[in-house]
Amino acid sequence: MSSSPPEPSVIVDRLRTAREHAGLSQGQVAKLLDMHRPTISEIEAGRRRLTAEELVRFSDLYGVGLDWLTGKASDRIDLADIRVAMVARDLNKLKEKDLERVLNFIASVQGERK
Amino acid sequence: MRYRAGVALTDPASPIDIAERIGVSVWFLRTPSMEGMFLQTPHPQILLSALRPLGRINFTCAHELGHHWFKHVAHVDLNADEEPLLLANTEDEFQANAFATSLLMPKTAVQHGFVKRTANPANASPRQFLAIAHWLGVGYTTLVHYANINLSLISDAQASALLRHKPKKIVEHELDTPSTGAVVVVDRAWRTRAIDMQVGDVAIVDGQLEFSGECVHLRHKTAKHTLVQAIRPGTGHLDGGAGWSAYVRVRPFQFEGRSIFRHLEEEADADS
Repeated sequence: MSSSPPEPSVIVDRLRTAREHAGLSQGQVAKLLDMHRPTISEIEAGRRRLTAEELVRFSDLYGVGLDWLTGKASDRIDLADIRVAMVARDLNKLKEKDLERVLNFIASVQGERK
Repeated sequence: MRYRAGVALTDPASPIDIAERIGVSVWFLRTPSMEGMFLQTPHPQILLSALRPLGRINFTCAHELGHHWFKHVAHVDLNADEEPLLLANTEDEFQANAFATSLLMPKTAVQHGFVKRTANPANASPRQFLAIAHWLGVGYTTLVHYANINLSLISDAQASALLRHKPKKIVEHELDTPSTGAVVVVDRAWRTRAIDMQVGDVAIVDGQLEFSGECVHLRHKTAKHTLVQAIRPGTGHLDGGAGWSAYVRVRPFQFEGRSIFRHLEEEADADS
């Protein structure tokens, strides 16, 4: 877990990562959130500030935790983390690249709003 | 679970649709060594490898739903060789496999599949078995094994004879050119569920067709069949006349992301 305040670039990076992991293009996000396509582009380029309400909408759409999206939570969950201890028992059998992807995924959805 | 999701025992069940309907999120990841995973926290979620054939994906999803149903602890199912999910070696895995087969292939639905095709399982052709497997959303080999061992609908000898046919070879002669994607057999008994394809797949549909939507295009016509190819994500409608029609849903090739977005149409200004 990071204790320092998140840099805007962290949010920008995670917004883009979360969108790609959700399987969406910028155009699809714009349509789903009833926003203009250039607005999504501006947000992901770090040229437009997000409101708290918009952050929540992105978090819900992408299915990721708000803490993760804002950079308060790490982008990789630790195998020793108690919340995934049951999973970790078998995760060590995955190939390294897949394990990394799965741990990144778990980190992103922890604390997701339902 | 079929009852809870509103799926009749005579109908095929899409475990991904059922999961979404009962509040379980489903994700696709391009992970070769991970077959599937179930996570309890922060709320129930299923991860599936995007790199498997649809029948395999459906079975794995149903299997993970079984873990959810029985409240098993989260765990990973590792990729293995052919038919790994039928070789359960723990009680949880056994339960989840039993759940998956019951969800996807209840005896009533399997028998209904044969009745609607005026076929008798005891002498049905490989193509009829293939059409029923695709309608149920399972693999051909899985259905043959299940009809033989679990449902006792066919003899060992018939199962052996059916298993000598490879699914792609069964309909190979019906294709204009070899297909690199999956080939889905859709007959006029196909009812009550959408035809699921990914970009590049081909559907061999009985008879002549009209279709709406831009996700498929006409590839080839013969006197008996119409071949349609999935060309872009989205949904469409096939109309064969005489009261037969079906919805078709196309996802991107090896789609990675939330399952609820898998059939979204691409936007003209898509950037990724």
